Amino acid sequence: MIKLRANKRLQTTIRNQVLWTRLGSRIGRPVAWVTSGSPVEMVLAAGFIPFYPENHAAICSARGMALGMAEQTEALGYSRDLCSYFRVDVGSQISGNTPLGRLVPPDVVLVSNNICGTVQNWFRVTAERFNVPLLFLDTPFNDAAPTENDVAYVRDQLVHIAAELSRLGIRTVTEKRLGAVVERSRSALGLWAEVLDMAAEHPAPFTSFDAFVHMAPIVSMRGTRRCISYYRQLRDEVKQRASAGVSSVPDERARVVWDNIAIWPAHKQLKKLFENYHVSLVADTYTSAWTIENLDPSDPFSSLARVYTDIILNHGAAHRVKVLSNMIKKFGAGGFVLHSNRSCKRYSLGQFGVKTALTAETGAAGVVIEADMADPRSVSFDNLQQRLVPFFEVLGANG
Amino acid sequence: MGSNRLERVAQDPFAEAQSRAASEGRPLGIGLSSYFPLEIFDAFGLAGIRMPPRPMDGYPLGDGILQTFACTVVRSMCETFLRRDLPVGLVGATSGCDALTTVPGILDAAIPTLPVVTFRLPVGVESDAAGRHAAVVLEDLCREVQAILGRPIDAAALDAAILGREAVRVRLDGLFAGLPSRDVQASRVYAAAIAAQVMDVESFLAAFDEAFSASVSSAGSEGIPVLLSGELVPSVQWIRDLEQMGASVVSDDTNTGSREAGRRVRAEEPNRLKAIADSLVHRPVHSPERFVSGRPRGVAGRARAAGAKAAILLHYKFCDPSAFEAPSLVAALREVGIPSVLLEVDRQTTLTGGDRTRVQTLLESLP
Repeated sequence: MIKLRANKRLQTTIRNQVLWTRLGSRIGRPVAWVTSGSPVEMVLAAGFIPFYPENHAAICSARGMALGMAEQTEALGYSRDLCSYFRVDVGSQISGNTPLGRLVPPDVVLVSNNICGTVQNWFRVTAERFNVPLLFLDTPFNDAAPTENDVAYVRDQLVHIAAELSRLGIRTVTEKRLGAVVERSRSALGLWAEVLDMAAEHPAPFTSFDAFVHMAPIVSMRGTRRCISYYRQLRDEVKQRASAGVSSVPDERARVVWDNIAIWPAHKQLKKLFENYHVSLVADTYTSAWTIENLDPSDPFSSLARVYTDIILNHGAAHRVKVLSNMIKKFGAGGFVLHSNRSCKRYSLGQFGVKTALTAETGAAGVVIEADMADPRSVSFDNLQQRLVPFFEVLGANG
Repeated sequence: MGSNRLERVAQDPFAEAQSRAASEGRPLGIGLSSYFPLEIFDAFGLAGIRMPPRPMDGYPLGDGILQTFACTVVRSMCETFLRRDLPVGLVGATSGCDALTTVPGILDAAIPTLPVVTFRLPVGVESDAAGRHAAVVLEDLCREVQAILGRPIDAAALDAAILGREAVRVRLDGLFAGLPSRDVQASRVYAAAIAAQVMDVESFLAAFDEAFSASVSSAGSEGIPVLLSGELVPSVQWIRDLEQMGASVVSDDTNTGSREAGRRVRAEEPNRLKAIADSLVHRPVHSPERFVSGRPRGVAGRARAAGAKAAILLHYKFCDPSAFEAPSLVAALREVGIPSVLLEVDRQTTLTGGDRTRVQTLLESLP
């Protein structure tokens, strides 16, 4: 396997982002802890440095630190049935443990329920723990596209949030300032979309296993110049690989798409398993959630309202079928894997119906695998292997 | 037990729903959440009910469409619809917790012929914008119902439904507010609340007045005063079990009980749909599935004012909003000197041996 050169830059980029948070806080830059589906453009426009507990929890889990952190949260009385990212994050807050050095506490917390109902509870706990203001963006769930009334409702809230952030931050959130950040977000999102789209090449020069890792900057740094620079380099490298016919998986024999968050405790093992069976994971609903289109710098409030209400997890099962179906066609996949993630009800409940509908619509073979995105106690690689290997056989891929 | 009509209905609300549909000759409008306004079903000529609690040993059909890490309330709903043993005219879901929010999509995929509408009530309910949006989405909902049923909303029926449902809530609210006096046994109060979920308004009011008229003697309760907090009370027997162990509920914080009963529709608001929407957004006590500030302290304060000496937290397994709130609710109760015990409910409709041990220990340990 030829590793991406960008892997090294990714590590530096993430480390520098955390260092910047620490440095920035020393020179008076306030810090905002935000959810991955929050309109981060707002906090950037107000001069905050954003920090993403979800990203951090994923990193903790990928580095094998999740269990101890989760147990510390459970000792506070929180159920093991709750989201493992939440349990890892709060455990990290309590213990101070983190693979990224010291974390800077928030000056404000911004949460949107467009990705799940969990985060509104999780970030309330965080805001109370640090005794900082909690700003909540309520985005109406909708099976169809957001209505104009939905957009107006969310826009009203964004205007209120902008006023609050202006008061708490170091800059006033003006349309012009926000528009500039939105423009940078749009550029980065476009570059990320280009990177992901190149997996449509045969063989795929880049897979979702790469995307799961390289998504970190688009989640935590969109709206910044550093993010654009990072994805420009990644895009160019993947383009070179595509031109040269480099395959991410040796001797690619089958292509599948993925639904749900990565399984961090088994990420490396799964990647190896797919490689051993010559199966390319060419696209997924998780990393593609940050390929948002239609951001409009000239009308930032309305376009942020529309875009952040219209993301995949704010829609029902029928929309998921549509997204996955398009993905299967676009990326030439013969199958799909649905990760039934115990930690994420919004993402997982309803997948049985999605599987049936998707196979009926596309003819692609599908499998549901049971695991968890971060809690190693709910992840058995042996069980995953027992589900995946026969599935690969059906696809005509074998070791 | 089963000494009056309300208690008999509460004993088996599912059977009442079935017989009601048969006797009234009109299909049921089934609300899946206490945030779905049954007045809307009534106004469209359906027999509006809440999804009745139903004891089940398992979910052989439901498990085929829904993972096991959804709460038993949601799994039971799916199982019921798949069994097709209720004549359903329309299902009304409401945006809320993640599980309930995903249910319409799941049902749509599994039973395409089942008509389901979603009331997209805001989750954040404290802003003026939320109130305005709630009214807008309720109007959207009525348009959707009209399209499905092929008939418009009946304005006169809506007025009657608002008045009737309000009368039901006022009576129930009075009972729950009176719990601290312990003149009426809590199990009778919960029986009335459970019966109200499935009975037609007129029958309920008649049965209520008969059951709670001054001439009907009622043994009060002598037990240790407790708070009961949770989403849905699994059965009247569950409350009776608590009473038999020496607990007497004097403060209620459940969707079955005072949370829903406390909702008021303003008579002076000419836009009736807006009045209903406001009553939901400005419900005095919300479920933890809504984004509101200060809920645990509010619950603790009310429990203390009611004289509760201990608290029973009824927690459905896999119910995220309750599970998130539990530690802060326990802490808030501790602050006002009320120790608590958390009972995890799955499919059982009575107290388990483990539940009994925990309740008994809590009650025995009180000074």
